[in-house]
Amino acid sequence: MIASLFNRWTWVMAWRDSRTHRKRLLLFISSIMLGTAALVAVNSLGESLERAVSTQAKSLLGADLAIESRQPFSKALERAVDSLAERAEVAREMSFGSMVYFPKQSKTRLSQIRAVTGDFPFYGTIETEPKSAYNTLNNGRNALIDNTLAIQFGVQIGDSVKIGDVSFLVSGILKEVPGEAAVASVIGPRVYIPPMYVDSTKLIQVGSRVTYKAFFKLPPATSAKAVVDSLKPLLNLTSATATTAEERQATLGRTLENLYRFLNLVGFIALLLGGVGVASAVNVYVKQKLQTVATLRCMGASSAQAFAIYLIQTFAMGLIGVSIGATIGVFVSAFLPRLLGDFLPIQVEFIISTSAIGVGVSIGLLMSIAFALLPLLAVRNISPLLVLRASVEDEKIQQDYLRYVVFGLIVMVVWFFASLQTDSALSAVERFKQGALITLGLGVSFGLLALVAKGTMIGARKFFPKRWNYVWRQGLANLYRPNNQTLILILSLGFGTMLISLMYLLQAMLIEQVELTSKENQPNLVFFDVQSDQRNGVEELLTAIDAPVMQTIPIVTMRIAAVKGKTVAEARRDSTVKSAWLWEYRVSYRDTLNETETLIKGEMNKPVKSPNDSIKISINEFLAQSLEVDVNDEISFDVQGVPVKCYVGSIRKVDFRRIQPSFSILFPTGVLEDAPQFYAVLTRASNDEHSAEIQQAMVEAFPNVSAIDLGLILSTVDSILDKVSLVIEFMALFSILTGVAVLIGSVLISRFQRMRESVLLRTLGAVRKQVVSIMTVEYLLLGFLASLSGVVLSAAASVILAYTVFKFTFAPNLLPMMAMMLVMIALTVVIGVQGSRGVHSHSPLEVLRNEV
Amino acid sequence: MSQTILSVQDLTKTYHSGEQTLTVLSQVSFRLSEGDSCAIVGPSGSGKTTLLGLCAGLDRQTSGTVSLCGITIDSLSEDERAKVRNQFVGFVFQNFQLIPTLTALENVLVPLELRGERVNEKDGIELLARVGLEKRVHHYPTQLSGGEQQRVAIARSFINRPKILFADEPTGNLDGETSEKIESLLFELNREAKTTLVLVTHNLELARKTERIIRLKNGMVVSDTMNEMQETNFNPTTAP
Repeated sequence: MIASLFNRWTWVMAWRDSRTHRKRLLLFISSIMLGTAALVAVNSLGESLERAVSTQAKSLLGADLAIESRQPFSKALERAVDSLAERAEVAREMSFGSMVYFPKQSKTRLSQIRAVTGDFPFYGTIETEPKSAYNTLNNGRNALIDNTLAIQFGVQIGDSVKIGDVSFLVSGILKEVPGEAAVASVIGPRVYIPPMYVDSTKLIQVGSRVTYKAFFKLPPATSAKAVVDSLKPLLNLTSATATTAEERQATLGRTLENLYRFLNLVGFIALLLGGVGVASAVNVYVKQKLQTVATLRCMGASSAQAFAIYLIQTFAMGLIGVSIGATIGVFVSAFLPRLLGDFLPIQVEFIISTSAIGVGVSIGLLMSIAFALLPLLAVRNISPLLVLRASVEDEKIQQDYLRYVVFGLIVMVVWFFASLQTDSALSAVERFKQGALITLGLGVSFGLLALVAKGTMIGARKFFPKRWNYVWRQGLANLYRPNNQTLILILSLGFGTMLISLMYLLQAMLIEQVELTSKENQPNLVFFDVQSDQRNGVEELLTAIDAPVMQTIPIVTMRIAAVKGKTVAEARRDSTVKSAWLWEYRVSYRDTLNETETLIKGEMNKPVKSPNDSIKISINEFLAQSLEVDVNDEISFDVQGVPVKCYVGSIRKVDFRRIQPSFSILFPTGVLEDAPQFYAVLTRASNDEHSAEIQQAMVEAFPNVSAIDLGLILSTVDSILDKVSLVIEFMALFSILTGVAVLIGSVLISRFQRMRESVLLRTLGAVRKQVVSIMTVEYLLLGFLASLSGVVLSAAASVILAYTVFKFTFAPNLLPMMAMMLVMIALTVVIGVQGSRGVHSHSPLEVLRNEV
Repeated sequence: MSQTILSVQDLTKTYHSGEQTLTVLSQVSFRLSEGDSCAIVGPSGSGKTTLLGLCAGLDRQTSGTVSLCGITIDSLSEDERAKVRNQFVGFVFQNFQLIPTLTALENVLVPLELRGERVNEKDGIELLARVGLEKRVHHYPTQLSGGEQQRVAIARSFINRPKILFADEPTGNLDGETSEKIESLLFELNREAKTTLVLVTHNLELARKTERIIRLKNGMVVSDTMNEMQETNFNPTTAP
């Protein structure tokens, strides 16, 4: 066999034999082309991302080191910062959430207010319009507003905005902040104000969530990690955290790797589909070469020589396919960073990556040869007796053990590649396990689709409707006749449809969860940070503007003092302590569960009636796990200086996806009523205008009170999902396009067979309309079966995902799935019928003579 | 004494279909020497083509022995049989069996190329000229008429100077006039090269041009006669 591959005659014969079929060979090149293009594009993107992350590492944080705390720095920490400032440059940032009021537009929106002292960022730049706006911010009562806000409300430079009690002049529009993705501004638009006006806004009150940061630019010889290590004991004591540029780079690297791996997997699926297309195309091709091979065998060619001729052709075909694919991939990789731009906190530049091209080309070639080998093996067993007889029993082909070896090889290639796509942080064994699961999932999907195809062929033959009219009978019979395209088209189109449909369903599933909250009689506007002395005023104001006060929730802040007798100070000395010990908790009190909560263990809170009663609290399951506590375990709290000893009375499951104030810890009534507290007030606005009116009235009367507009959140979630799905759909497009390429390839390759049949039919008196109708019926049935299988599989997958991963029940919407089916059916019919048009434009004799 | 080129002894071929056994060839024996010409005749389904396939090593018998040029081919692998064919055998088929992607010359040269020898195109061109196709050397099969295609096939069958030529209904797809030309060409070249000729045909006129006629019916030899001689009762033990 190997000797035959290096025999000059084999290569010459491979070249000669391809002469009249080169066009047909080029057709199935397209099958492998798109998958390779996807792989090269995604791998190039991966390399571009890696390069961007490493070159822009410091600008990701804007500094060498950042210290962050949810409360003002302790005196000890301040001293440490001051001492560090002697050898490093320091900048400070204070940020908090607040309503921003745009008087000209009479609109408000919850935004993230930031005030910076010092030369932050030390690395990278905050890009604004005009360019000098950030540097001149502190020159007056200026504000820099996020581009999202400018677009949403039509705010222009020179307009005014009101934050708390202070009006600012919009001096610039914020375009880009180093290390932050553009999409972040959709969730929490940023507004920069001069630090000197923070106090005047009067927004910093009890319960306000303020984040304090200090940024450092260290001297070149100083290691940020060493500084963090030296600060660690101090940071632990004050619940502050430190991040170095290197850590940010590593975190971002991991996140981007996940994104890249997912896209790569989608590309690989396109390649896999292409492989199926190649297998089908080679299968048809080999069938057309039976007589040639038999004649060569008669003349004395060995089976290895015959096999080598077609292996060489396949190799050449694969090489051309992957080369064209790699070229397309390079062009696509220039476009991908733009598509992903909003999600990336870095500037990604287009590069032509030789390693990406190398990987794409090798995997593409490997796949095309592996898949071509399955049908090619049959060449070895073609009997020379075929020159004498039209058919020879092919028992040998069925029993060829090498088929199983090749099949095993394909599974190994898929498994290996799928394992490469798993999290690199996992152990090799775990990665191979996950790779096996992906391979199994792909195998099950392909298996089910193949089962549908085989079932269709058997069913159509067994239950053939003899009473149907001639056209329908012929069309249906084409599904199981020799050289049919049933298996390949149901596999490729079915899989492509399944992928795209699954993307839509997952998106619909997530949106449906959020929309639950927008149903009637559910609150859709939440005001928080309402101080005790503001409570009545807020409630009266709401009532006055027809906004029902649906719920007023008291909130008390506290910290954990001890768990099961172990104090926080003791826990801090233990390096394995979880951060849950150190958090500041926002706790409410009530004795009933709300509709987002389910009791898992114990009994729900009972009112505490006397000081001697034990205080039994309810905690959520995640907190129970983090603190390693169970029902009846003791937890002591520091409630703003007052120690309170409690016991875990119950453990709850909380559905945090529902946009409602949820609490990790719930106290019983009768304990916290006198503690310093603030409130969240829930109401319902009847429409967007009403919502705007309520928010505006609230900001004017109580500037420190912030609002969460669930309608806005819905549209935000929607717009983010839109962007995410655009990226996913773009990649899934490769799969669909491969399906279409495979469809075109199969149609054109089997054209010879179809032409002979159609020409015979025409010779026997069939009119053009009948011939076209037979083909239309065939492709209609194929398109219907493929797309139906695809959407049914996607619906099943989405229900399973909803139940196992997202933990809720989901009923897929039939309408979009049906629309997708119609599109796929139309596409199949149009391509199928168009591809066979040559049958009608020539005379029967001409076609027979040219083709034979 | 001339050398035995083909020896067939007790050749039987059966097919199994479910529980039924179908015998298509039963206990056939004969022998052909260098330069002999023999026609195998019989009605459709009598086993003519099966016999030819077995003699040429294209198929495997159920029992019996076939020797080609002194080589017993029964136990040879497919590839070893292919080598034997390449070295000693030529073929002419009813449907020509030219490789559609090769030109006339390339088709003719294939058997030599398969030997791995350095191929002299002149040999092929001369042979094509011998069959009257010197002007069609670079034409593809689809550009040739049926008669021309068969002439290319004949040229191909002689290029490797075979010891034995198997022809399966060589004129079956051709009109009367063309058939005659092809027949003359075939016998002429056969005589020149002293090749043993085995001809399978329905055409008794054609069969009579050979030295010997073996008649088959239901898979059995019903007569084995020498041409221009009295037909004798068949007795395998006395067969040459």
